[in-house]
Amino acid sequence: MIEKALAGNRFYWSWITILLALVSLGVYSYSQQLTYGLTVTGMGRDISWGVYIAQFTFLVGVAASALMVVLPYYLHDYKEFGKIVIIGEFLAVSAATICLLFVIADMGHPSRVFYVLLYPHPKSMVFWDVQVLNGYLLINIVSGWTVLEAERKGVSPPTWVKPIIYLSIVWAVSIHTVTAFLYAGTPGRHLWLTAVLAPRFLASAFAVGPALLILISFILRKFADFDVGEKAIHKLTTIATYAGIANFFFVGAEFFTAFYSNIPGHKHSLEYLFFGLDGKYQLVPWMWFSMIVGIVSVMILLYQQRRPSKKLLIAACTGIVVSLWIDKGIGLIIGGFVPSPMEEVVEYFPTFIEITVTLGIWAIGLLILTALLKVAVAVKKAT
Amino acid sequence: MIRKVPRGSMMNEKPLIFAGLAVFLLAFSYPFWQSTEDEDIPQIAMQTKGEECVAPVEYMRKNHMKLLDIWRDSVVRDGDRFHIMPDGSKVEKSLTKTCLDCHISKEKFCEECHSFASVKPYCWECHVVPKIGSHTELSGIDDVEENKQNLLKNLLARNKPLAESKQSLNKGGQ
Amino acid sequence: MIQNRRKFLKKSAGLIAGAGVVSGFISKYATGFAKASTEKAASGKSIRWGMVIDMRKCIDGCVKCIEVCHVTHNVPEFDNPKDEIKWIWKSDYAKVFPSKDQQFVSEETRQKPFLSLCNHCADPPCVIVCPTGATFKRKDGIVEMDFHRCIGCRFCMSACPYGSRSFNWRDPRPAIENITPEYPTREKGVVEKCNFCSERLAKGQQPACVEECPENVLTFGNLYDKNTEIRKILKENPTITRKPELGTNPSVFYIT
Ligand code: SF4
Ligand code: SF4
Repeated sequence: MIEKALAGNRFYWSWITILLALVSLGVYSYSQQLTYGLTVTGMGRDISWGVYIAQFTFLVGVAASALMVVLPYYLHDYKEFGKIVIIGEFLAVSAATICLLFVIADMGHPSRVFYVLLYPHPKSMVFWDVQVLNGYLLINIVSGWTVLEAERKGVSPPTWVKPIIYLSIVWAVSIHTVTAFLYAGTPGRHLWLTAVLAPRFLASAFAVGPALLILISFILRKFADFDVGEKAIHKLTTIATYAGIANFFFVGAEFFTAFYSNIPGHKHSLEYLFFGLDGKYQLVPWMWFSMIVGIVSVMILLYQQRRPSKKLLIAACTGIVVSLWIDKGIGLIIGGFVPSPMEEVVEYFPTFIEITVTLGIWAIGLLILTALLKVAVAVKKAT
Repeated sequence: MIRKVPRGSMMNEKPLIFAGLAVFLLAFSYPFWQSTEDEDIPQIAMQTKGEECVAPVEYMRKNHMKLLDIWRDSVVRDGDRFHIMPDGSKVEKSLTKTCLDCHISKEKFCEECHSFASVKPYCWECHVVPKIGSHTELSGIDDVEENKQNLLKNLLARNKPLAESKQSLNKGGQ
Repeated sequence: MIQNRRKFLKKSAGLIAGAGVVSGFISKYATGFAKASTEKAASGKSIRWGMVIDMRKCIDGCVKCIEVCHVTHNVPEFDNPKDEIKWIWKSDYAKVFPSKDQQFVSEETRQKPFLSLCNHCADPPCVIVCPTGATFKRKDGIVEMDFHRCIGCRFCMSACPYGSRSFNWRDPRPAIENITPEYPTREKGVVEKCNFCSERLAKGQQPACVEECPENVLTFGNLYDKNTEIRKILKENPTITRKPELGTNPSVFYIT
């Protein structure tokens, strides 16, 4: 089946070439990082996690969002998702893969990665995160691939995948919850030490995932002549809308708690992110951009319920993805470190090496996604 | 959606694939299961002081890395720093202070064999190679005074400007 | 108010986590807070090393304890603050005690240099989050690093609420002028911090900083032994610890 990924037109191959070029650049930069250590990144004593961990957090959400197509299709028998469910699962596979790559890219001692299993410490959330992410990856590869293979052969999928698919539903929630617990359990970081972090993570994931799926659907319609169906897109729009609303509701709740209670620690990080602290305001424009674009996009999506328009839909979905990427992929992690435990305000600038490694890993994800979707579309079209 | 005739299957290719896989695995794992004859191993220049080793030589030849692993865990994690010799005496569980006290040359004792076996232990990334003959029994316990002097020398060497500019600080110390 | 809120958050997070995944968690969070670990003496543990820092006696500008610590433990000195590694250092009072009330406090007091080091917390968050046990608490209360096991995930740095931990962003050896051979250096990619001189304690010596201080600012001893000097000082003087509201139960006390 995999051989289907090796047939494509010139456009397909140029896309693959661009991605491969980015991957090689990333590999080169990573070799630099291995030689000189993480000093080649913008991270330092005060801001000790940067873009790598931020991308990881964002992508766990993307991976978890497959839930939003698997659940209606398999549990509620929502037939319209018949074509998109495999896309959701394969999106999860590629996202989960690069999540793991980002974790490794961030490690000071990557050769010791197996110590996490060799000396397991179940009290550490990292231990659970590694378990659930790998498990989720496996579940999605197995279930997605088996169902597709069965479809290709024109038989119904073996009965043993059903329980696995149901498991993937619970599992999807667990990966993002455990990821939120990584942060929500640290006593000194006020931005993270909040019980709404896990729900907020899930809400933003369930907004970003469907939005991405809508965008992918349009891309497939244009370049692969493959239509997932108007109804499916409409349903996804609804899901993204209400998840988006929930997300911004949680953000609002954070603001209320911090500023109404007036507890300095709780306010500091939000102040830094949205207004600047101690004359440092590097992230302020980003955060406002994210906030405004996000809210406007959600409003457009809401309007789409009544009067669908393809252009506006694409714009709004892009807006949601960009907005929540900034929120989770930049603000949440960096903001958590400012101010430092000793009330220092230090700013963080990712370096060229760091950015190229990040791009390289993203490119790996896109390569995997492209290949998998190519196979999926070929099979779906043939049946 | 369900089609009656399955397309050309890969079934008949399966034996071939597995055979290929088996050959690859065998070749790949060759270094792990092939046996090395004893005479292949370079004769290590022991250069010992002639005292007894912490464990029988045969055991050490094969398992010194395990012993060092056990030592380091018990020193770092359990704070258990002494190894009891067969005669009841104590030695420090220490590569630099005990092993290399007898086998005084790291080049000859460690490296010849390691480069032959192409293994690269990372001990020396952090641990400091002792100067030949620098060691004294259970260092630190009997030589507190000497250690202190060394430390002070180091301290002053690293902080010349400090030592000069903040003379008042040195009043109490020296 | 703030304390209750934090405890509540911590407790609810703990309960959710426990219900979801870890059973070990439940006992940890359900058996109550501060008291459990401060009064461990009864539970058979006989040593908990601790330190009292009498800042009234500390001389402005003196850095002897810092120097001796950093030389003893081969702590490198980097120019770029991003790469900085420190085990013990001085910082403004207002920064070491950010949750202390700063109203009507003179600028002088706010900026008075205070010693800052790992607190060897009785309930250390850094230990809980470490995925490999590279950071662990010894029976005598010292929170120790096992450099052989650290994978460099820096989770402990996020979890420590005192900024006590440093990471080796680059190879430290070139930045150590004179290596002290008795103590190892570190590789790039691992975390390090104050170890209460556990290697000296093993030989029956006091921590280097305690021994070096000309003014006897630092007192080190067993907090579980009622007859020690440190307990006497704790009994006779009002002392404070850093961010007590977080429930980490520091073993380093300050007389201000
Ligand atoms: S001060 Fe920080 S590093 Fe030290 S024990 Fe407490 S939490 Fe851990
Ligand atoms: S950086 Fe090292 S010590 Fe810190 S949590 Fe990770 S493995 Fe543990």
